[in-house]
Amino acid sequence: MANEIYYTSWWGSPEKIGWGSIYFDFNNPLTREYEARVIADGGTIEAIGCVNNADFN
Amino acid sequence: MATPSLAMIPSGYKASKVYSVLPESGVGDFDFTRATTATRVNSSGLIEEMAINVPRLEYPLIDGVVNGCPSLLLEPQATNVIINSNVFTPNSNVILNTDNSISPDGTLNASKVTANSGTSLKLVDTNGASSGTYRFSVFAKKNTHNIIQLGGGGIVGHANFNLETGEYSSGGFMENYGNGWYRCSLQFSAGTPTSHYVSFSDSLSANRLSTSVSTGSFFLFGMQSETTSYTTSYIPTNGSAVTRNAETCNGAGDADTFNDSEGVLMAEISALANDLTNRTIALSDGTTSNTVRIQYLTVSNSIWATVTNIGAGGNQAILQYTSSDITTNSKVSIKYKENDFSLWVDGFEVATDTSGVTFSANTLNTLQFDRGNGNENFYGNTKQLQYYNSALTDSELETLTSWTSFSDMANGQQYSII
Repeated sequence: MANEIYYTSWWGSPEKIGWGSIYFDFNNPLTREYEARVIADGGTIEAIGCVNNADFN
Repeated sequence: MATPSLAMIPSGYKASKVYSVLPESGVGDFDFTRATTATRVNSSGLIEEMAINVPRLEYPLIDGVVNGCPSLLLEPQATNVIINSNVFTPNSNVILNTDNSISPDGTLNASKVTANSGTSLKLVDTNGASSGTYRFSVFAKKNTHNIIQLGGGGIVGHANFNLETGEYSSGGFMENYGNGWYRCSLQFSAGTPTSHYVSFSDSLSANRLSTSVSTGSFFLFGMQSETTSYTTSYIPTNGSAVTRNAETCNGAGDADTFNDSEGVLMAEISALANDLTNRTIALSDGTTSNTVRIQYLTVSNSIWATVTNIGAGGNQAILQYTSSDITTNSKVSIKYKENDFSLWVDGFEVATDTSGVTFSANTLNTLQFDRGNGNENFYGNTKQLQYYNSALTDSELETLTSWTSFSDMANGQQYSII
């Protein structure tokens, strides 16, 4: 129907390479938890890719 | 490969804090202090001022372009005695146009210096200069003229710089800041000049205060005169000398984080200069009595790793390595375990000690960028810091301290790949 407003959207299950790749979260769980902790504490995150690429991660 | 019990990858910060990735509880976060503002090179390659007590993540410039992960930059106190760091005074043989070009801080505040015709001494000057051993620096960019000279008024000492090729004469030094900008610097070891100058030169071998036939122009930004033996981060001034206070970073971890009987401390670090001072990263009990240390010290280009237990007789292990250049990044690890100590640097075991004890339970409780007691602060760049609460195998230590690829090594040590 024209001009219909959807209150929610579902973007499916993004894949790293393929459909929905622009929505894929490349960060692993430790990186995500670290990023969330810093932001929740009012900190600033930079160069998160360097955390994601750390040898131990 | 084991998982570190504490890991700091420079990536998260706020005023007075540097976050560690591990442990996830946050007990491994560092307390940070710097009672003044300071500048850094940000992720866009631009000079950016950071507020009081805000840590600096410094991005590496390779051939003037940001390349690779940032380092935690920790610097000593320094004062820029030039009271107006971006105000240049032309002599009668040059024309100065202020706010003429985009400077390394990304704004339109660089000055253009244009030579008048004829053969004459063509220079801009500044008031204020340090005395004794000090360093003078200025950001410069070629326009239609590419060779300049830096010197001090009233004393012997100068160096010439080619803003097109990046070449410089004896005593000088250049850092590429991108977009054609170089930070040119020169060290003076004695004397008390009344000012500094930047002049036109016709060749890299030109004598001090030579006349020039050039009619071209170049750009200038941000002068600094500081009583250090190396150039530190830019300190803007506007009407008076400005001091950037020394930084401290300490207090990570607790007694549960660290194993007193065995473990590994790993740091990927580079020194700001081979200036023969003690600069220490230490796992300790908050004193110098019980420490596991990685340090640069008063021996040229040396990296030491030591384990000290005063109650057990003093130093248990002193492991020394001489680097080709401590200002390039190295991955350094010290393993400590009773009668089993070793130092690894960039993938190689470089020193061992098979005699010595470690610590009694609940001794080690803090990781600091100093010797444990607030002295011998570590001033340098840190790309990562890790602590493992077990003695890793040789294979693991080799992996931990090795470059993962050729480009990883080249970028880590800030080499150009041609």
